[in-house]
Amino acid sequence: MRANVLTDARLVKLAGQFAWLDIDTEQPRNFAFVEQFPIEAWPTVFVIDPATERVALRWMGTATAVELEKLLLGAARTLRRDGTDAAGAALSRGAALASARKYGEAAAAYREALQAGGPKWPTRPEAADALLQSLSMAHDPQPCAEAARGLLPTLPHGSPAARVAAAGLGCANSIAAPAARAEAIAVLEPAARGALVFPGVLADDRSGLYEALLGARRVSGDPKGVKAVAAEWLGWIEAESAGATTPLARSAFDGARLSAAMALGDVPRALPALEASARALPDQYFALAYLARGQLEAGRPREAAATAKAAAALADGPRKVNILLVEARALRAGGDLAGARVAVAEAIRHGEGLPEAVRPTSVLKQARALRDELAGPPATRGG
Amino acid sequence: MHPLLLALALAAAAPASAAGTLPFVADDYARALADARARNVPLVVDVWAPW
Repeated sequence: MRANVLTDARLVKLAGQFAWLDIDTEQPRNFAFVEQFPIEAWPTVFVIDPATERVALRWMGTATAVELEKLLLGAARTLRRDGTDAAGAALSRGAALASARKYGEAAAAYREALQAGGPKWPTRPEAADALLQSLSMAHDPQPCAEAARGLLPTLPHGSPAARVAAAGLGCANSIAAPAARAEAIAVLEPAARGALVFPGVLADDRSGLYEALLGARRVSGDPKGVKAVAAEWLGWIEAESAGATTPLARSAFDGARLSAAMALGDVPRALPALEASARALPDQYFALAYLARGQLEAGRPREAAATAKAAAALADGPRKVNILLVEARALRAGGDLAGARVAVAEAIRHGEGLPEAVRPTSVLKQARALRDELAGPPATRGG
Repeated sequence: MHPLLLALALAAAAPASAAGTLPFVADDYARALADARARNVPLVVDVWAPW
């Protein structure tokens, strides 16, 4: 989004109407910002009222320039009028609630916005997207999938509808009851597949659709289907990334490339591209981190450990925990248990030293589990 | 999602840069907030991380 959307002339012309800030959440100097404005998806775009620091827009994930223009201007209008436009005010209230992680209440506000705005409200697709974001974050998959099913037929074919389809199918995949899950997937899987050809769908959103489609085949117990989707996804990534004009732009596909190759069971196919990114971007931890994970998954643990070590030396934020965890796993796979213990201890120490708002709790949990495994079984009494 | 956009120094009195890019302040909330207050405009924040 930073490369293509925020440089779009449509947004550049708004320069004077806003002040502009970018925040890299891996930088320790930004941890205080993240404590004040919790982040759960990257990228996230905020519009903040400078007088009160109230959040008027909190947009998780990608958006096209057209959508972002609409969202920014809508948030600015709401701040100026503050409540005179019922739909815009409800949308803004939803953003503030989502920013406070009150996703259930945020979803209610977004539903109110959709109701107030009616079927011809220009911001309806974005409000539908925001509703799905909140329902998805609320971890209540049934209403999330149902909302997607209800909204999709009413949305124009475009980027927001593609994200609604992906989020809805992702929620359907998480429904615990098998019959309800299968029923939701039966509707939302074709919708997500259809969204792959919607006009203007961003690369990240297309990968989001493939991830949801992959998940649908996985929870349906269809390993052949998983591989078919993974092969299609990886083929698309390879074709799309071939047109990238810089190593950095090409590396934007590396995360999805690795995920698709892992799902396909053919990680070696991804390695040349990951190696090329690491060679071209030797001072970027993420390029080395993806390569390390790929090497580990491809059964090359010694190389993976060395690559992860180099990546960890370049990282200083929350993602360093995961890089050190990959190093520890690689060392263990290579038979260096003492080294693995050191790396996992470093991962835990680094993670626990981070402020709570940026602490990667699930990765830390995995690190603690690995530490316990490496320590061996607990001593037993008696004998 | 990638650090493709170089952070640009903000010229407070010149809202649009000559280069045709948005005048982002990099990693300095206090400074950007002060600028927004001074100009009485909303603050847009793009939160990202290198992937």
